[in-house]
Amino acid sequence: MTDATRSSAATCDASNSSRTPFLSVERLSFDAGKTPILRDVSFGVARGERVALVGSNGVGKTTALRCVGRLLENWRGEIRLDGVSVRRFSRRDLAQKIAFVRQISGSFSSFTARQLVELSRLPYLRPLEPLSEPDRAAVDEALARTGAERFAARTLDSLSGGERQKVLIAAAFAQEPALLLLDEPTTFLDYRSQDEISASISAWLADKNAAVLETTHDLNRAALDADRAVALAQGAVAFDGPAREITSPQTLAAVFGVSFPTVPHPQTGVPMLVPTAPFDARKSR
Amino acid sequence: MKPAFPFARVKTPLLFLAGLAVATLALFALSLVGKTTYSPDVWTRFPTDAVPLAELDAAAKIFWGERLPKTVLAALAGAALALAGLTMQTLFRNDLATPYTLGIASGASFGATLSIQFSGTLVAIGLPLSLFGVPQVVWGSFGGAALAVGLVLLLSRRAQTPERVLLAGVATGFFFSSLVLCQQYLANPTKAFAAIRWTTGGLLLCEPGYLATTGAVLAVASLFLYRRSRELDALTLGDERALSLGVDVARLRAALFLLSSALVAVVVAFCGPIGFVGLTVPHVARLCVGVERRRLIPATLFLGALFLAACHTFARIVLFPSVLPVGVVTSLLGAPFFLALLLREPRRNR
Repeated sequence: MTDATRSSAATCDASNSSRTPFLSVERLSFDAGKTPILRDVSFGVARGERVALVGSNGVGKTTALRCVGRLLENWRGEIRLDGVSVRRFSRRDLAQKIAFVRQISGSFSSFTARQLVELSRLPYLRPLEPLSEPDRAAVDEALARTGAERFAARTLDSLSGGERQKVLIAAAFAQEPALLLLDEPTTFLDYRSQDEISASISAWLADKNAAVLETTHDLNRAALDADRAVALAQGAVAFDGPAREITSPQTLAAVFGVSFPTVPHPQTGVPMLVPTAPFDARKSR
Repeated sequence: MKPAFPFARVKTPLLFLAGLAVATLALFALSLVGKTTYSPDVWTRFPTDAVPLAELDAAAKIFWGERLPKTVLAALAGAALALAGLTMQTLFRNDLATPYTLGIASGASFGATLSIQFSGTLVAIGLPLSLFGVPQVVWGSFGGAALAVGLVLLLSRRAQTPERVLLAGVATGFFFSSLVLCQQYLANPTKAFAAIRWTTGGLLLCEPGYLATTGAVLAVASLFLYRRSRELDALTLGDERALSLGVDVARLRAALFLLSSALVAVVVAFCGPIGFVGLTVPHVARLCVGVERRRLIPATLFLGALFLAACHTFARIVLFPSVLPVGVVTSLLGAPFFLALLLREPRRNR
């Protein structure tokens, strides 16, 4: 299914020699006060594609994501969905197209997981309109996709970090967006939760005619999960290519100016970064 | 699985009707109690066009002309204060935000006393003492409340932690309280005496316009907030979540700002500042029906109405023949009650 979707997208691209991706970010610039954060950032995301926005901490990944979701407004440049500027959408229309999952934050209310996911239907409902059958179906499907239905009746403040993130991802699924924006979706989670959440996102993308743009500073995750990686350095795009190339020693040296030892992933052969061993440990080997 | 809240399984319309029925019966019953407690059959001898109030027997005269209007005013004020508390808690995303803790009530008192003091000036320059049928005290009190909310919002934008928002509110409150004291000190004795009402809080008077004005503001605010309950839910989860769910956050916040100011303003103008209702009632309501606004708003309204009506009745009879200001009772009852809830809560949530 995934491959079928992607190859059809690829044929489409091939027939259209000028590539018009679903999301196109064109010369996006953003200043925080007088400090420039993003400078002329351009990249695109096609339907069916999962793109990782990578870079070191504080490089502007989250800012770029928030500009795309119009959570920040005073940016320059252009951001288009299907060729239409995101500025031309009303908030409500935009909410039917884009869902945003922010980095896990500490404070949480005593909403139950299901109540939070149900709230994602807000952009489709009139005031006081009860959830319809399709709404409920979307909520149930979203909860099932992330495995959050097991704790759907529990309140958010009683859940673990991994469980809470599954609920937040489910909430984004229930919003039925065409573009899913994820800010560090697996950071601070244990390996098992990371794998489960990443797999649920890939499975969702394979089933829906949608696109995913996620930030991460974990290059290994980006290389494994994403189709394409866009690396930011000093507020500008430093790399835009297949995700599996992001961890190659050449890219690391060229983009980040660092070198790390890499080993091939036993299942895919994608180079994986490993931390540099302390000097004494190397000696004792 | 055990539901998270006692009334989680009860359908919302049922909860609504039950609340309405209980509130009506309770207001009626509370009005029977007093120096002489009347038998419930006074309800059959109500004033009509044919038989006006003045021609009724003594019991019916006091019941329909004195006690019931004041009890109803207490109920409306209680509902308004509780709703104002809930609105501010949503606006500031802070469970301790209330008309009192943020100094909004003091701002309203300041506006009310100011408008009393300058009522003579208003008349002298030919301005009316009421606008759209609303007396100038209410407008003054609304101006003061809006000024205080605006100030606290402005201050809290720079101090993003909840503690600092509260501190900003406390400072605002003290500032306006001292302005009120200043005015009283400078005013002539009659006006100073009139102004005392806006610093203590009590249901001494119930003039004809009071019920209508309070009721109208309360009705507009309740309907607006109830209609927007889902958007308010989203807002409690953060501005970003609300934005990405398509909520026009800036406009909604502005509406909450105006509504909470108006709610506090009418209550302060007619009854003076009454503490603890805005803090205790939404909290208890949350424990009963959960955090979804669709259920929380009606629950807050009914609990607020019952709470202040009961406190008012208690204040009338406890030190008879003198009448305790109702604000004293709400604080005396509210503070320990709230502390008990606060200490009990952690165990409940585990």
